[in-house]
Formats: sequence, C-alpha cells, structure tokens
Amino acid sequence: MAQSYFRRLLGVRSEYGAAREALDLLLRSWDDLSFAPKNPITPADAKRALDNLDFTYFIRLHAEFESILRDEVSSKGGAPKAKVRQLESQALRARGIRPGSVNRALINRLEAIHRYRNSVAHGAAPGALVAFADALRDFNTFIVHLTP
Amino acid sequence: MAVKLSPDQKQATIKEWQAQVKQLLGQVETWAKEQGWEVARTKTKIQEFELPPYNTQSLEIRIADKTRAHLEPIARFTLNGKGVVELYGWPGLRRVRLQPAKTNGALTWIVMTDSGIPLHQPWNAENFYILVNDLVA
Repeated sequence: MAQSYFRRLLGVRSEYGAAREALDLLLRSWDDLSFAPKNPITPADAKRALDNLDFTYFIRLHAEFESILRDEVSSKGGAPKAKVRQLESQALRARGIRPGSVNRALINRLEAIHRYRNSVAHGAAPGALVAFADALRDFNTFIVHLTP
Repeated sequence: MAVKLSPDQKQATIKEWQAQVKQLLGQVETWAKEQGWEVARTKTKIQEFELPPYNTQSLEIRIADKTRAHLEPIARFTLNGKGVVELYGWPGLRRVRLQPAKTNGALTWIVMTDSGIPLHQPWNAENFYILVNDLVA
C-alpha cells in the first residue's frame, strides 16, 4: 500500500514538472507560436502561472497527502477526521504506532508545512515558506511509517 | 516532441534503450557492491506515448536500515533528451536524472539536477558515491 502512496506523491511531482516545462516552453516561444492559443491568454498570464507554480503544486501535493491519509484510515475501517493532524494520528494508530513515538523533528516540520498550507489556502497567518521538494520529502518520510 | 516511428523502428528503439539501461544498472550494481551496499533488482513495465509497453529493470540500493537509493528508468522519449533514468534517495525522494550521452563513442551518463542543470561531473564510481550520499542525507 505504501508503495502506491509513494507513487501518488511522485505523480504530483511529475505533473508539476510537465506544467513547468509547458509554461516555460510557451513563454520562450511566445513570439514564434505557429498556433493560436484556445484561450485569450497573455504572456503576463503565463508568467504569473509560472511564478506561482511551486505554490500551486505545493497545494496539490498537500491535498494528495491528506487524501492518502484518509484512504489509509478508511482502509483500516476508521472514519477519517477532518483535520490533517488528526488524520496523521489516526493513520498511525491504525497501524498500532503511538503518534508520540514518531521523530519529533519530522512532526515539527509537518506542522510547519500544514501552517504554511493554511496560510496560503485560507489567508491565515503566514507560516514559513515551504518548498515543494521539502514537503515531498517530509510527506513521504511520514508515509513510510504506514508501511506494514 | 512528436515522434513518428515505424513498428520496426519502435522495436529497435526499445531494444537500444533496454541495452543502455541494462549497462547502467550493471555498472551501478558493481559500484554499490564495492561499497558494501546491498542491491536488489525489480522488474518494471514502462508505457510511453510513442512506444508499445516494454519491460526493463530498476535497482534498489540499501544504504542503511531505512535508507535506500533507487535507480529507475523513466522513459526513452523526453523533451530534449534520448532517455531518462532517475536516481533518488528514500524516503526523502531527492533526485537527479541521468541522460545517456556518447563520449568518444562510448556510452556515458549526464547527471541533471531536478531543475534541469547539468552537473558537469564525470559519471564514475566516485561521483556516484557522492551523489548517493547527498540524495539520502
């Protein structure tokens, strides 16, 4: 199961890479485009999308992490709770792991990631900036705990 | 990158790519064992837009108890490239990409960072060990 969870996270990274390449290519070849874009976009639109891409895919990755935790809890017969921190604890307990036994530094980093996600998605107080690659590392390091 | 290949060309492309990957996996397996790391191979099926599904192999390198590196072929057809194999650390998923190249007619691999910057370091055992240790750090 954890193997497919890991593939789900990597799938988001692959989409991110494809989107970055596509936007980069579009901007670099804007003056030589041999086709008319279907939507009336401007180079400024494409530039803004590129500038926000890390951020956009960070949100996607966070959503995938939450979805994995929900699936894990459901697969063990539990009713997934709403908040991601609760889901983490539920998923660990479903595997017979005491949440307090998980590396404290990892838990602290995950808390920072969730705060950042809330700050950008809900306009809450901003947390520290979290890079996509760092979030991916910490999500997968947590998910390894769910390996049988 | 749209590629139009005949069925024979597709089979030849797959065969050449499988041979390149096989050579890389053998090389890395030797280097890993020289370092005392355990190595396991896994069968992998790859599906690309331009080619019929084909089989290849991946390598799992056990560095320590829960620390591993993986060498995994991704695709033969990529933008601006003639194939890509990923080398990534576990569980952190930090990665570099290896792209095949020819130096004096011999197959070698260019190491690309995640942001597409080539490392300009020769592909050899010493640099492989440095890379793996960085990826799992």
